Amino acid sequence: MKFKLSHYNIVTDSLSDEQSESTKRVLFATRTAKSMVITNRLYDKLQREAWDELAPNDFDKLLAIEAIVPQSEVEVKTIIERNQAKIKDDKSLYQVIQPTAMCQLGCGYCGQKHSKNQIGEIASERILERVESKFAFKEYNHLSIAWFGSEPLVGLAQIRDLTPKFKEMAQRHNCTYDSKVVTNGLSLKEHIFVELVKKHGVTKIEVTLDGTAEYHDARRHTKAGLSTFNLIFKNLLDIFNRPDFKTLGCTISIRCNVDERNSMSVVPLIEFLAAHNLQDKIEYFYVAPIHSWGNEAHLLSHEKEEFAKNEIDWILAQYQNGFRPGFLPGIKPVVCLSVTPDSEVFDAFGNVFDCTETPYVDVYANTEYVLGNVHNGLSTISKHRPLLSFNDEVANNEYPCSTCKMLPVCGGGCPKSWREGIVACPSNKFNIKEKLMLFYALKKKGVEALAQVYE
Amino acid sequence: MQSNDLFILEAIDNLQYNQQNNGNIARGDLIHGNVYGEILDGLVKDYVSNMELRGLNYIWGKYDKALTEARRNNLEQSQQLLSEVEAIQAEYDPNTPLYALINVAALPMKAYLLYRNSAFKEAESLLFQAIENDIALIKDGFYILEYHRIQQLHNINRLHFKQGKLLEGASVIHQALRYILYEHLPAMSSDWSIKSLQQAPDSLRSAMFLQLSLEPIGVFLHHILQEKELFNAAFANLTFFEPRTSDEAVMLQWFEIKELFFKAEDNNQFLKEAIEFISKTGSEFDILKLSLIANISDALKKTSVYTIEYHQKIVAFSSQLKVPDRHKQVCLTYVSRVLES
Repeated sequence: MKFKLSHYNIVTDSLSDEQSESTKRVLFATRTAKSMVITNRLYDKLQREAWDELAPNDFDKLLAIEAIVPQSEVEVKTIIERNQAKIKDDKSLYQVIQPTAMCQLGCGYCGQKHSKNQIGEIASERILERVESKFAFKEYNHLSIAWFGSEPLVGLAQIRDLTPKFKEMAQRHNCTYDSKVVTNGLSLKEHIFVELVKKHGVTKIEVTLDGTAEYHDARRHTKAGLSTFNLIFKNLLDIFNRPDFKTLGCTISIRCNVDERNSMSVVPLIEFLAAHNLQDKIEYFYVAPIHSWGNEAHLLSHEKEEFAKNEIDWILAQYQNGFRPGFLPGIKPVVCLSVTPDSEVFDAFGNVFDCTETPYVDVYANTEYVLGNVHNGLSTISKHRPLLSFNDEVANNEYPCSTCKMLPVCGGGCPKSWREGIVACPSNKFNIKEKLMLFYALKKKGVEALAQVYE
Repeated sequence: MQSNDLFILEAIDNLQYNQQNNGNIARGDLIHGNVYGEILDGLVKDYVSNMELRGLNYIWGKYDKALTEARRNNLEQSQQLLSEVEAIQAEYDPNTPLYALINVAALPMKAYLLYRNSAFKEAESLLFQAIENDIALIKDGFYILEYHRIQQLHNINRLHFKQGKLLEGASVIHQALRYILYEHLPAMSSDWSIKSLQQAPDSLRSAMFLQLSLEPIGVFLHHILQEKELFNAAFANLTFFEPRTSDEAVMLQWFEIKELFFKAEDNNQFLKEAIEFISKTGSEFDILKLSLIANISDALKKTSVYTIEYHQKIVAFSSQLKVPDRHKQVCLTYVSRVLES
């Protein structure tokens, strides 16, 4: 049997090591998202594919992390087929529901068109019927609902109405149940949080803060132009400071959407959060570039390379301020719900989509992204899901992902963006080597090393 | 109340759960355990070149991963790994010992995936192929594979049980156990090698004996009205061996107590021995205790001392046993029915 060096390896430049004379590198095998520190001598042997010169232990480790693979293997085919197998094996039924078309905020970059519509009684029944019908085709062990916006907490009445019905459905099919909420945080009062967790099975909440008050309020203001940061942050503090917060079983992550107008406020926001001792209370803090929402919002975003460079600074700022974020990507066999045949997005009008970025956005209103509407009868909902073939398209070399070393850890990025001609590569593609160097420093010298690098 | 029943009350009053666990009993199949694996690895290293060994280990590892995914009910991912590794195996000459060595892992793995997909006939055929595949290798010195062959008998037993063919499954277990304990050659397949069987350490032989025995006992609990018939099909006449290990001694004692129960000649003697067994034996044998508890409830019912109070004590004792809930539930349901009858 013959072997070859996998195409899916990222290797840093040489790193000096004060404790030993040999220079080292970090190898990251993206097929397994596993890393290994190797000497330059070993790196040289790998480059020459001199397998008989490798110590058995090194060879076995490299083989185990799939940095070395069988020579005959067509790797991209393997990766895509593994992704597809993972999707087929998934026994969790994931559905996204937008209980209302309303949002209190008027963010400039948002592409959604908000209105006061809520999911009505008939639509609720049809949505339940639609979700129920999925159990006839596959055996699930878990039902997961994401309450998504507009602003889902404006539709709290719908969440209250639908949750017990979904829970009952899950129980009837021997499934466990949980849900998550992606919210602007304005209505996330302490008692609402407790209700969501204790009554509605919410286990994850994501709140958006676009920087400190000055920057956040300049973009995430109400439709009437009123500030929101202090209200949202008070809500968060009330929740985080509950003595039982950690035992309630619901995590809260903070997302910071950035473009060139607010990127300078990311570090101050990290410092602000740290000053309130939230390091071990926030599950995860992350920065996301503004993307196209059927509009041109992304044009004000940083170039990907620049964003990637800034991201390293933001990671270091987190370490300096006592946060301990992970930064190496894991494997991503399921890029998003669009590539799963059973996940759907339901909006407040009863429209059905296969992507969370398309509801309430005018430009997608009469496109194939609208699979149908539950009011027109469930049988009229299209079986054709335009983004479902994304993995096949990657396998057929239709996107640069087919040759990209990062494919196993990014899954290809947003399928819709690629369709629209927008490069969907995540920041990891541009800063993975820097992240590997941080990983090396962390491994060698502990968390102090990262805080010092920042200083 | 008859005076010779009093000891039963006293014994039940004093019943205490023995939590001690000697930890000798392997979880899962023995052919994935250390003793078997270490011996096989040693034999392989002497047999193939270093480069061949790398390939072989890679392929075996991959079949193992596919098996793990199938056990997790990730059947598509298992099939995917199987497709990947089959493509590599296809590069080998099927007429070489190396190919046969690859098949040691490949055939049972493929059979398991077929089993999970309810393709029982095809799975059984592959398991027989696995038994045949080992013959030449054993002749070439891979004596440890005799246990791999016995493992396939166990897998065939599982196939039968899964299809509800309980007596057929029990008969396969009986053949395997008689081979291990008495060296009586199984009727299924051929070329069994007693010499190879004897070459393995006693600990492996003993562990295989336990693996083959304990699993069916759990299954039989779900068919308790047929228990005598099933016991006889699987475990009849297994009380004539000399225990080599303490675990074997426990099994021998259990076989004897069960035979005493099924003979139904001396109810009190059975109760005495069974209650002593369940109070003294370590927790790794809890499934044996649970099986006896069902019989104890039957036997107690025949005595003059049977009361709800003692019944409840038995139930309370059972609840402490470290066995899968499904086994416990079915046993306790049976015990409750005995009480009501």
